[in-house]
Amino acid sequence: MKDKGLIILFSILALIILSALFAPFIAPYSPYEVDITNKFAPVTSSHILGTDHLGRDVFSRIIYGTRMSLISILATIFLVLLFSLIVGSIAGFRGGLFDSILMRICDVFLTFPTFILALFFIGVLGVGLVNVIIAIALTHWAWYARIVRSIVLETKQKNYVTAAKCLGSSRLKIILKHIMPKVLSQVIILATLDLGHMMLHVAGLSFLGLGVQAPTAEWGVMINDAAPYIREHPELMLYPGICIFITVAVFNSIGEKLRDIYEAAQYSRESEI
Amino acid sequence: MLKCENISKIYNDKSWFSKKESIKVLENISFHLKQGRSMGFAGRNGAGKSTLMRIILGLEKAEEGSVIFMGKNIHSLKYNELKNIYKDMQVVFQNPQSSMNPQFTVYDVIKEPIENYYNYKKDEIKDIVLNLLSAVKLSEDKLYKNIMHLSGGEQQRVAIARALSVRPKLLILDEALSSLDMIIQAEIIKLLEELKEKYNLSYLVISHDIRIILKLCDDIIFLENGIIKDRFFIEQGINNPSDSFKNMMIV
Repeated sequence: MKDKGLIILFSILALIILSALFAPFIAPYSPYEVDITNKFAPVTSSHILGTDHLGRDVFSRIIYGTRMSLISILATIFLVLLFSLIVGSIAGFRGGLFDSILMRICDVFLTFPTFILALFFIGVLGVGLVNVIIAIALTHWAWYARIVRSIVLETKQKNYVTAAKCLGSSRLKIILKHIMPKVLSQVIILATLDLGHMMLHVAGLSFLGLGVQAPTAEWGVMINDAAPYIREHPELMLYPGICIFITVAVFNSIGEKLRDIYEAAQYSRESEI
Repeated sequence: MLKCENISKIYNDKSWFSKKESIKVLENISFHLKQGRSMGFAGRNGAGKSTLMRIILGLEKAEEGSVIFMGKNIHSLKYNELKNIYKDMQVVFQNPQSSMNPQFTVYDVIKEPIENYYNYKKDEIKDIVLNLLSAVKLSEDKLYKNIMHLSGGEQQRVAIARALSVRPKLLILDEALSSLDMIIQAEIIKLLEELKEKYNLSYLVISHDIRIILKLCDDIIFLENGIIKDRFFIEQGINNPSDSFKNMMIV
């Protein structure tokens, strides 16, 4: 870990995670405390970022919004990985007809544009954060399943997997001990690269009023709330927007750095052999 | 112990537009390996030695013939039943580097089969692994080293220790010494001779190097283009060898 950029990125990420964890201690006000007499308050020492159209403290809402954003993308990525690891490794390991059927299902999911498909699922499942998470997971898993499958197929051919078979290891053990570590190390990097993208999805759907519902402090919702007042108070849209931008950028850069490190390690290992 | 009858293996070249081509890799291979004896398969590259090994191990199916190991027909067994076969028949592969997971330490590699067959506790497994390491003459401080950080000879010793960990009766060595230099080859041959006495092993040695087979085996079978060209019992001497066998001896 001599990479200075990576250290900076991880400290920003740590800051984001800490503010999500300790939101009640950091935020000076409750994010839901309405004070209609003090609406659109300017930046003062008591309200660091001012107040919104209902007089709620913007800084507190942003801190609490971190929670929502992190929980929603972590839940999404968990669902995506769970789905794709199971489907991908079964398809890759079993092969044959099973593989063909699962991959055709993946093809069907891959043909639709993700946002449209997510809108469709929300239309079917209904509005709400849980449904948004399910919808985004459903639109992303196919891509991951294909990648998992291809890594499994590649690793399955390795001599040490044949050797493990000759040592009496069960199929499950071979998948868990020999194939999964390799799959996970690559898929987690891809997932980090994709986290930002998923976050934009969640925020975007919330902005459209399809995700997290109004009083909840969430960045997308905050932008949506502030939208009618864009002429008088554009800064209300700017603050959550900057937060989304920073978080997405941090996730993307970390993903890229990790990928570079992994590829360098892979390269040096291969040249060793 | 191991009986192969009329094994034939055909590789079909499946292509859509050209003619179907089928290559006979093995034809009518029969032999019988008795308990306590060792057998060597000699032959050039492409003679079908490794395919034969994969068939014996049940990793590939033969088109014809049967492999019977300790009274069981290997090719009629399912995945879970093969596990019992591998308790008595182990294999050391050609390339030690590729036959072990590059992320594993020496300890991880050797404990894998022990975990599969026995229910020992952690410290018991560690004792067994240390015993095996001393049996193959590796020092204890290698225990937690990554497998990729060992030399070729050390890696092959780890592979041998791994194969011996389940106390097999038959050990298949598939070109196990080919990637090593002469001095280390000699060391490992000596080690294998000792282990043969110690664990009452039978070897099935597959090699293009006839000297290794002469040292370790009682019988030699010479394969050429998938058929058995010559077969000798070493104590009876090598009588009337075919020309290609003579060529190999000279090399």
